[in-house]
Amino acid sequence: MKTQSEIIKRCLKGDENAFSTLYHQYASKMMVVCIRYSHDREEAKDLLQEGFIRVFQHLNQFKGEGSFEGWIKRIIVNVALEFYRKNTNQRHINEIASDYEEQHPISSEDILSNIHARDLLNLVQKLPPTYRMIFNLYEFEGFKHQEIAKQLGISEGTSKSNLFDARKILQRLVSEMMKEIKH
Amino acid sequence: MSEQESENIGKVFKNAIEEISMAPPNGVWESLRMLAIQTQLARYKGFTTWLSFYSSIITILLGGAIYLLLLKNSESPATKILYKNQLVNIHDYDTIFVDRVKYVYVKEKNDAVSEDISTQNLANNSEVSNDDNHGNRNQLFNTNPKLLADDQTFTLKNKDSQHSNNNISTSSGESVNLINSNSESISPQIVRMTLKKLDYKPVNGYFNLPKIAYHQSNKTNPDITIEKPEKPKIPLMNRIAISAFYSPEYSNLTVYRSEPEAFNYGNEQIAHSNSYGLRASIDINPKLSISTGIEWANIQFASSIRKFPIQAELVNGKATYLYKTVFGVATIPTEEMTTVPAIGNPITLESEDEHTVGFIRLPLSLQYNAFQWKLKKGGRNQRYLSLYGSGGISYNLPSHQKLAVEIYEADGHDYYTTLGNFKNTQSFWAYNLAFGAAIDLTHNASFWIEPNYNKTIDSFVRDLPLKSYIHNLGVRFGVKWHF
Repeated sequence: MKTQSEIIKRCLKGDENAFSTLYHQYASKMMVVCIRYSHDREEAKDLLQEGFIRVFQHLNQFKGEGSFEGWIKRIIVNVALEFYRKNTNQRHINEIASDYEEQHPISSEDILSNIHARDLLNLVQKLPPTYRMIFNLYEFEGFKHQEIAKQLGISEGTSKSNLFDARKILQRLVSEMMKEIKH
Repeated sequence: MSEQESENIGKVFKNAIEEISMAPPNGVWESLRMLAIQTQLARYKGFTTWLSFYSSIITILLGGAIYLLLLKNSESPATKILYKNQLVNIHDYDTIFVDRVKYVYVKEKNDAVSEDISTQNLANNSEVSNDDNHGNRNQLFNTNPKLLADDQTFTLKNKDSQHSNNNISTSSGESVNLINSNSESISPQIVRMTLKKLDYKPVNGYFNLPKIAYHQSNKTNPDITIEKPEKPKIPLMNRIAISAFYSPEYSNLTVYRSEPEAFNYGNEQIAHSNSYGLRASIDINPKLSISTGIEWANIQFASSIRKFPIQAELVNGKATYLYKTVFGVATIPTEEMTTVPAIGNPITLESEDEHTVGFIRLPLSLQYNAFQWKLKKGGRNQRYLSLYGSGGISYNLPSHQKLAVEIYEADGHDYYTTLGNFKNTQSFWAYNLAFGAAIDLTHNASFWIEPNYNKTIDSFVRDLPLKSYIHNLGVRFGVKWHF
């Protein structure tokens, strides 16, 4: 097998096979990222396609510092943020009331042993767009609330409260799923 | 829900989801592939632009060099004709003043005697050295008087001198007058003499005259005929030379894809190439020689990630797996397969080894020796450094093509095989331009260096939706043996 730098070099020379190799090497992992940021598979597909177009176009900007996978992931996240900003006017920050009833906490072991990771991924997709975005940026990308607020054009407090609500919604959805599984 | 419980649910999702992967939708790569092809086409376009620029520079340089050579050759004969057809008649007068001391015997009586001194006597008495005469010859055309160290002055006048070729004939009828005082004292005397009477023998080299060939000057004198010396004939064997060379080359590939199907073929890039061979040449004349021989050229493609699915295609009614490259199509052997080749039953091919292509060149070229410098003068082993240019064509025959691959079947079985039966290749013509320098090592052997440019005229492949052309820059290092 050839090294990653060789693949990149071939891509920079316009080698179609290298593009194919690069895509097939990272597409499946990036697809999960795209699903996390989208509400359905069709939107995820658009994100993935646009993300890889950016990767191919800006491949010469990758300096080899850090992981190449991380670099691709950052591009995908940036594309997701752009998608979100374009549709932000159609969204309502407080579209879901946080008046869910209190759920009994479930241990992480119970969740992981009973619910498949793909089902958890589907639960994330069920989050309202802003909640989903904040949840993803905070939990998966490691953004601080200050950064999230700056990216989404909201206050830090809103970011914190939305994250709390997103987690609460997910816990409720997980509880419901656990109940269905047990029944 | 507490803050701790809230954080836990986030971590659970992160840990569970981060490790999974999902197959991307089918249509995404097809869309991206078009972008990759566009990138590839843009690169080809850029390369073509560069190649055009490079070709223009080479053409200008070669054209300029040829023009200068022709200009030089056309000027030389004109100069010769000018001197050949003209006989130079020079009417010139020269006066030489020679001062010297002369002892004259005078009668003791005070009778005035007009002493007559003959020309011959005077010439014998005059002690004009040869060196002095040579000095005068230097300034013959300037008619400047030359004062010698002696006390006596000679005035010599030369008129109607006819000057042609290496001889100056002097016709002068001037009398020589001696003015001699009757006084008893010795005084400087002036003697006028002609150059002829002074036995003047001019040397051609001092006159800064044009060099005229002997046979041309003889036309003025029909009685004298000198045969033109025959050119020495060089035996045929001595005009033949053989040489061996090795040439590292920088090669590139230009592929013209005329239809979308052409993009299903590979995107090979040349990594290394070289050639070596033997040549035999014969000198047509001292400047021009013709050469031919046999050369072996090898091209090694850059190793690229080649792991991609191959669908079986129906060839002559049989499902066949084809490996399509810009250098031909190879049939993948199915003897070791555990699955049955069928349409819609893909296999995966992975190539990690270098893809090599070899062909034999049969060149025919003309060489023009433009300049030659003698490095070691005199002696028997004279050494020369010569510069030359050459151009020619070559007929190229594909000789071998090889690629080791690993085949993965759908059931998980895999095996190694070597593809060598590449089809759809053809012989092709190429042209070659070069210039070089050769230096003699011994009387018979010489070493030469020859930067060259080689470009194919025909495509390497046939009956495919694409055309492949190779062009390369190389430097040949060779040794030549003259018989």
